[in-house]
Amino acid sequence: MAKLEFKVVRDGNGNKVTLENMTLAATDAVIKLLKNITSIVTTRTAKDAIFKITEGSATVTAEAPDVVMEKIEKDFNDIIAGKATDKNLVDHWREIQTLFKANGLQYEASFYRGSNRRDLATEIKSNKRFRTKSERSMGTFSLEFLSGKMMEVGGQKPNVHMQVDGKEVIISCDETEAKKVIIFLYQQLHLSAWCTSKGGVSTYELCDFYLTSETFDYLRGIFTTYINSPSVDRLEFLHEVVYDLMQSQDFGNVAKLLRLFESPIHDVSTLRTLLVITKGFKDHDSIADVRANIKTILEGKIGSLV
Amino acid sequence: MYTNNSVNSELRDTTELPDNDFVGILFHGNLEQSHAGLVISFDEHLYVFHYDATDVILQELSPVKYSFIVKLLPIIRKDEVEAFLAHCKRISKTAKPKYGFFYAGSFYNEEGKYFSELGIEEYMTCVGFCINVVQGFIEEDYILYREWTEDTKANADSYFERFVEQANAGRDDKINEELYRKNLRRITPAEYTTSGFYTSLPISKSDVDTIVELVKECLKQKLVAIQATVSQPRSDTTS
Repeated sequence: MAKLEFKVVRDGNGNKVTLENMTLAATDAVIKLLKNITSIVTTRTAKDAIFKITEGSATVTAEAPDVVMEKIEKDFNDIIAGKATDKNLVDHWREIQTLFKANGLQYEASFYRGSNRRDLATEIKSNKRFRTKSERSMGTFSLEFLSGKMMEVGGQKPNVHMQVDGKEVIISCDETEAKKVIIFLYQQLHLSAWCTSKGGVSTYELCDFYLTSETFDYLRGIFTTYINSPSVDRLEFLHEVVYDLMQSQDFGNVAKLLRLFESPIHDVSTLRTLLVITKGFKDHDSIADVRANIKTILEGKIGSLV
Repeated sequence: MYTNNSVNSELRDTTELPDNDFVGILFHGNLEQSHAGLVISFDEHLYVFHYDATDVILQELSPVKYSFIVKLLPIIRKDEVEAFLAHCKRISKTAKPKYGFFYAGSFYNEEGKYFSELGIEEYMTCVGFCINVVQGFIEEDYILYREWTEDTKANADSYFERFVEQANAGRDDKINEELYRKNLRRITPAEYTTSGFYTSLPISKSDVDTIVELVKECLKQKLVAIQATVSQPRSDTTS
């Protein structure tokens, strides 16, 4: 059996804590440790664990088979590395961390496997506040910018065939879009497409196409900067770009930029920011439709905005 | 139905703030002299955004060193907080409010600049500032501000007389007195804090009136509890 163990060693006055003689703060700490240790361990096993409160400082222990405790230790490692995604589990460890970081009581925390002891107290205390890994990534969906010779367009289920870097890429579209891009047959075509990757296979759906390589490069540049910027900065960047375009009355490019965000693959904060930026021009002919669509997409994610 | 207990549990001091991202209403001071602002918690950083009657301030705080009360603003969701912070950063660069007891549906627009359809200049209180910020972020109206009449401002006549005199000083284009008088109103920090209990917009004065006394009572209890604390953020005492 392996062990996970927490100890309340000394109270706020520096006195040794014993189960027979606990301050209110120490009692509260023991209760919290017990509550959280049971939740942490039962995430991995419902029946194989034993819990103990023992003397020798106030000690709260969970014992479980090695394989189970290995998983619990791995969960802890993920949390330390900021890679954990289980919100409840992170909450439990964070509550313990909050106790450890608060001034007053002194704690010990350890994983025991055989005679090996891993001291956790320092790791818990020195680490920044435990958080769930941000799930802001677009997952298996992405927006891609493709440029190449168009070889075919049309069909019952309309699509566009393009040669991109020597490979054929097929992008699905609707009839109206097919009729528009047909003028580029056997010529260079620049477009953006929603890409879904599944089992190593990518499928593409047309987002927008561009008459000139300048527009294509411009929008690709903006989108790349946006994607690669840290949080908040990326939104301020979008804010500035759209603001400058609106200042120069370039609503055509505002609409083209907004179209890149006309999809639920984008996060709520980005969609909300675009609505905030364009609020003063929501009835402008060039952007009214695409803005309304973004609003609908945001409502689909968070509920009605009215 | 709100009770003393349920209101109390939603008014948090700085030791009771949740770990996750949120936007909240900040209440600071006491019931006679209070101040309101916005609190933004994003990615383990806590920011306060407020108008202290002189400057617009966006500052990062350590919650350990400050004491104020926060009502989480439920209309702004956790995953919108990043966008809200970006909005505040933009406003902090451009806003130039002047102190005055007026509000008439204005907001901080896409440029981070003040926009009033009626043509009221950037006069506002600390509460007015918060409402202008939030109003710029959302699609619908935040409050039915017309329900706050000039009766909400004590000594309205003498205040307005002084205001007109100061506003007109040193300028040729005199302000439109009728317009300003019609939009003279005071929404108090306690009322604004109370608005945070509602999720259905726009919020009416009768909504606020229903529980404002209860909220004040709970604020009072909380304030007594945190009274003896440490340094405070900059704030005015007039709001």
